[in-house]
Amino acid sequence: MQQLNEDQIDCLSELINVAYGKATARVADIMGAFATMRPPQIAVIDRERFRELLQQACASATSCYLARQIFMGDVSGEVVFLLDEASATNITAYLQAQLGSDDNDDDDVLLELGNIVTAAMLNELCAQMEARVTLGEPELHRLSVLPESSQSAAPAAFDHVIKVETVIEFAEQQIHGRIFILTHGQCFEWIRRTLDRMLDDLPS
Amino acid sequence: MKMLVVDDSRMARRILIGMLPESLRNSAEIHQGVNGEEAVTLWREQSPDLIFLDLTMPVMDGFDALVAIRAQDPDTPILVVSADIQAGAVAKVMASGANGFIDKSKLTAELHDHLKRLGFL
Repeated sequence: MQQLNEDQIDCLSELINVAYGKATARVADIMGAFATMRPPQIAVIDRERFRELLQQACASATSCYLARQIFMGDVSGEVVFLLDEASATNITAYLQAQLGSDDNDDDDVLLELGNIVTAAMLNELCAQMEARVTLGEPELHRLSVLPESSQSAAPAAFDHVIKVETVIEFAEQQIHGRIFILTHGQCFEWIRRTLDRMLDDLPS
Repeated sequence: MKMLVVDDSRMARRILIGMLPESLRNSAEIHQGVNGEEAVTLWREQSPDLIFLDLTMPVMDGFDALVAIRAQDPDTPILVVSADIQAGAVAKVMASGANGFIDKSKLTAELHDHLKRLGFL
């Protein structure tokens, strides 16, 4: 599996930080509250480690939620937003209270939130890297057990995963989510070359 | 001229410094800090003519550093440069005495205008 060097990781971290800022602002708008942003932590992992993390998330909670969205274009893959049950409960309870109704499907709320986070983040990240992509329809899965042949696990083609650990902190609740950008070797190489180009453009 | 660039991200500092007009970048003495506490220390030690300040930083964030500096120095221009673009964040920094707010995703477009407005170009 390819890896990124320290400069490339630093560059990607900053790009994701900026993209994450956009996503945070969108979520804060919806929540009608001010969020304290924490810098996201990123790492490059392989498909097996991604699967382990999903299994751990399922094992440590009654269930967890996974919002996913494919993207295609100059780079292609899938972006996944993994939300623990406590965070999901916090969000839905808060928004249901704001909406003044319990008729809204909690899953719809979570799907919309997941879509906002993944789309805002991916669109901004791609804009900064000058990558043209289109996004597919978002999906939401509730996981209590990770099936062996799960569609939620990374398809074999996605052997490079960029993990983004995030916390969006509101006054009364936190949203602890993990975002995973799944892609394959060829696209990962495109990302790496783009980072090098951006680094080369900086004065020494 | 002395300039202070404060951001916990080495790459963010490098990007910002890289985007300064060449004349300014080559002539200014640029000091760098990685959190709000260093921002306050460096402000006190170096008396910079201009400060660039990130918001989300460990130890002490940019909000607290801005308030701490402004409590003793109402004059040194401070530009906040951040990925946190919430309306509340922008309002908070401007109410705390920042001279401007730059969205990191729009640094290329906005930096020059702010420098010109503050008289550095």
